[in-house]
Amino acid sequence: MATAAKKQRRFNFRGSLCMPFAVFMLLFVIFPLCLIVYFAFTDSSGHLYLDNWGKIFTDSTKWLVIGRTFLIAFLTTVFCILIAYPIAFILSNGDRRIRKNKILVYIFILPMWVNFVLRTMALRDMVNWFTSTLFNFQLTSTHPLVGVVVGMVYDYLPFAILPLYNQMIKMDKSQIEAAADLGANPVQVFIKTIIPMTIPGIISACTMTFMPTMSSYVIAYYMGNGKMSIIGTEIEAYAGSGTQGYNPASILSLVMLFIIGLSIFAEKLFDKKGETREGGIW
Amino acid sequence: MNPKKMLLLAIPMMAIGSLTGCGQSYDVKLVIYNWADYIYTGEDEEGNLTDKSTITRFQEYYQEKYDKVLKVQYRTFSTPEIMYGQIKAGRIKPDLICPSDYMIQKMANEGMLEKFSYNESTATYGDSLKNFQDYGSPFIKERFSEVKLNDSNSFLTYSVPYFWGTMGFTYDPDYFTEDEIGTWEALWSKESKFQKQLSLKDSMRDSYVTAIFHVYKDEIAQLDEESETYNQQLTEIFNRCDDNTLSLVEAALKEASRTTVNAFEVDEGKNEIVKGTYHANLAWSGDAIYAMDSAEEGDKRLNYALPKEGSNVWFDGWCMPKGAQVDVAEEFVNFISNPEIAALNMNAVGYTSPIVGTEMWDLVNDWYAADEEETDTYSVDLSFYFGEDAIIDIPTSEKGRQFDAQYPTEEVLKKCCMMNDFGSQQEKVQDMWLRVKA
Repeated sequence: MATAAKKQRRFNFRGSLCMPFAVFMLLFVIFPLCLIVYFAFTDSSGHLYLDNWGKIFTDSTKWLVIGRTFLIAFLTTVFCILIAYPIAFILSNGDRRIRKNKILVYIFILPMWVNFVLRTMALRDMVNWFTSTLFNFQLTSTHPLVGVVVGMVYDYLPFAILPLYNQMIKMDKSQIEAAADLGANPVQVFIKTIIPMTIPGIISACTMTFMPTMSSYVIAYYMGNGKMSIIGTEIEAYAGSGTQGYNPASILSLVMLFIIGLSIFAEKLFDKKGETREGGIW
Repeated sequence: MNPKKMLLLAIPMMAIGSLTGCGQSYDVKLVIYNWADYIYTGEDEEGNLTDKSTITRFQEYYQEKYDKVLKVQYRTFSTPEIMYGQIKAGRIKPDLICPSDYMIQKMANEGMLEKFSYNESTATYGDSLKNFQDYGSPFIKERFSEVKLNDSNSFLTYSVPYFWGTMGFTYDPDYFTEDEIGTWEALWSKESKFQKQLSLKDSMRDSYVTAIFHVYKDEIAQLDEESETYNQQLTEIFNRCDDNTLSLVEAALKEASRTTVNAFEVDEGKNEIVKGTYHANLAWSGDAIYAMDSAEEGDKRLNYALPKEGSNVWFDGWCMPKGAQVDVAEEFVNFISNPEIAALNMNAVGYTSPIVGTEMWDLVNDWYAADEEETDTYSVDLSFYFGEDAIIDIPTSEKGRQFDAQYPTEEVLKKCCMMNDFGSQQEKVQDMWLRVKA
C-alpha cells in the first residue's frame, strides 16, 4: 500500500511531457467528435431528435452516394498501389544510377508541394483537352466517375509511393539473391520474397490513400464537374446550407467515420503480427 | 544591436502600437457585414490603394457632419445562410447587413430586422434617407413595395436596395444563335449540338429557376402578356414549390444533368466560358458582364441572353438586424445612395445599382452610348428606370451584350420575377437538389 501511494505521488517528468499533446487531443479531436455526436442526435434547436437518421437511411440516393464513395476509394487505392509499386521498386532497387539519383524521388514527391486545388484544376483541363482532341468528348463531363478516380489516383499517388519506397529501401537483398540462387524464377522471387517483405509498406500505402479519398471533396467537385456527389460533397452541401444542416452533416460524418473505422479494423486483421509498426510511414 | 535586427523588432512593435492605438480612438463604431467584393475599395487592378474607398469617404463625411470620429468595422460573408446562422446564434451583432431578397424576407418574417424610416401609406422615406427617396429608381421602388411581408409591411420598410441583377445565359455567338439559347428549353434540347454544352449553377435556388419555366411552360405560354397583372401571375407560378412541383423539377433537372449540362459550378463558370470549355453558362448579369469583358481582352466575343420565357430578378439590400444603431446605419445607407458614391460602387462591382441621377446617367452614357459619328445604332428607352427622359443610343454591334445585361428594358423586366424564400419546403427542396446532383 505504502509503496503504491509513494509511486503515485512521484512526479513523472517524462509522462508530464505528454500533457500538451493530451490537451491538444482533447481540444481538437475528442471535443469536436463529441460535438458531431451531439449534432447527430439532436435537431437544430438542440432537442433529442432521431428522425434525421431514418430520413438519411431510407433515402436511396444516400446509399448510392455512400456506395459510390466506397467504390471510388477502393478503385483509387487499387490503382495507386498498382502504379506506385513498380515506381517505388525502381526507385529503391533499380539500376544503381537510378537509386543514387535522389532527384527521381523528388520528381514523384514534388507535385505535393504545389497547391492541390490548382493541381486538380490543371489536371481537369489537361485530361479534358486530351480526350476532346482524341475522342471528341470531355472526360469529366461525360464520365464524371472516371474523372474523379483519375483525379484521386493522381493526387494520392505520392502518398502510396512514399511508404512503399521507405519499405523497399530496407528490404534484405540477400533474401532475394538467395531465392534466385535456390532456383526460384523471377515471378516466384517476386511472390515469395519481395511481396512478403513489403507487406507493411503496402498496408500503410493503402491506409494513406483509402482514408483521404473517403473524406475528400474538392477532387470530386472539380473532376466530376459538380455532378459526382460523394459523402464529402454531401456533408459540405448540408453544412454550408446553414445551421439546420449541421445535424444531417454530422450523421454523414459518423457514417464516414464508421467506414474508416471498419477499414482500419480490416487492416489490423490482415496484419496480425503488427508488422506495420516496424516500417512504413507510421 | 545591428540596424537589421532593430528593424525586425520595430515592425511588430509598431504593429502592436497601432493596434492598441485605435483601441478607443473613435466615438462611434459601425459594424457592416456584406458580401465579399461588393463595394468600392479604391484599389487599382494590381491591388494598390490609389483612391479613397467608400468606407474611408463615409468616415470622413461623418466626421465633417457630426464632428465625431466614426470607425467602420467591415466584414464579409460568403453566403447569406452563413450570415443568418451567425446572427441567429448571436455570434455577431452587425449594424448593417446586405443579404439577398429571399433572406431579407425570411429575416423580416422572423422579426430579426429593424425598420427603416419608411412610411408605408405615403410610400416615402424620411429625411434620414433623403438620397434614396430622391435618387432611388422608381421602377425598383415599385417592385420592392409590391412584395408584402407577413406583417403587411413591404420590403422597403426593412431594406434599402443596394444592387440587383438578372439571370440568363452567357454564350458564344459563334456556336449558338440567340434564338437557340434565348430560351430555357435549350437545357432540354435533344439536338446533339446542345449536349454537354451548357453549365448550371451549383446552387439550388438558381437551378430551380431554370426548371420551373420548363415544367410549367404550357401554363406560362397561356398567360396574357398584355395583362396588367402579368408579372404577378408569372410570379405565382415561378414561386411554386409544393411537393408535386418539386418532383417535376427534380425529374427535369436530372434529365438536363444527364444530357445538356456539362457542369454544375459557382465561380469557375465565368472563366470556363471564356476558355471555351462549354458554350453557354447560366450566369448572373454581373458575372456575365465580367465574362464578356474578359473575353474581349482575348479578342473573343461572348453575348448574354435572357430567356424569352422570363427569368429571375434578384436584389440585395441593406438591412438592420435587431439591436443595430439605427441612426448611424441609416446615415451610411443614405451616404451610399448618393449617386456619386453609387456610381463608384457600381463601377467597381459590375451589378446594377438601383440609384439613378445625373452622375449615374453620365456613367451609363460614358460606358455604353455610341459615339456621335456612329450611324448604325438603336435607341433604348430607360425612362421607366431613371424616372425622367432617358433615351440612350447603343451601337447595333453591341446588341445583346454588356448594356443589355446591365439595364434590361421594361419589356424584359416584366417577365422577371422575384423568388420567395422556400419557407417550410426549404428542407425538401434541399434534399431534392442533393438527389439531382447525386
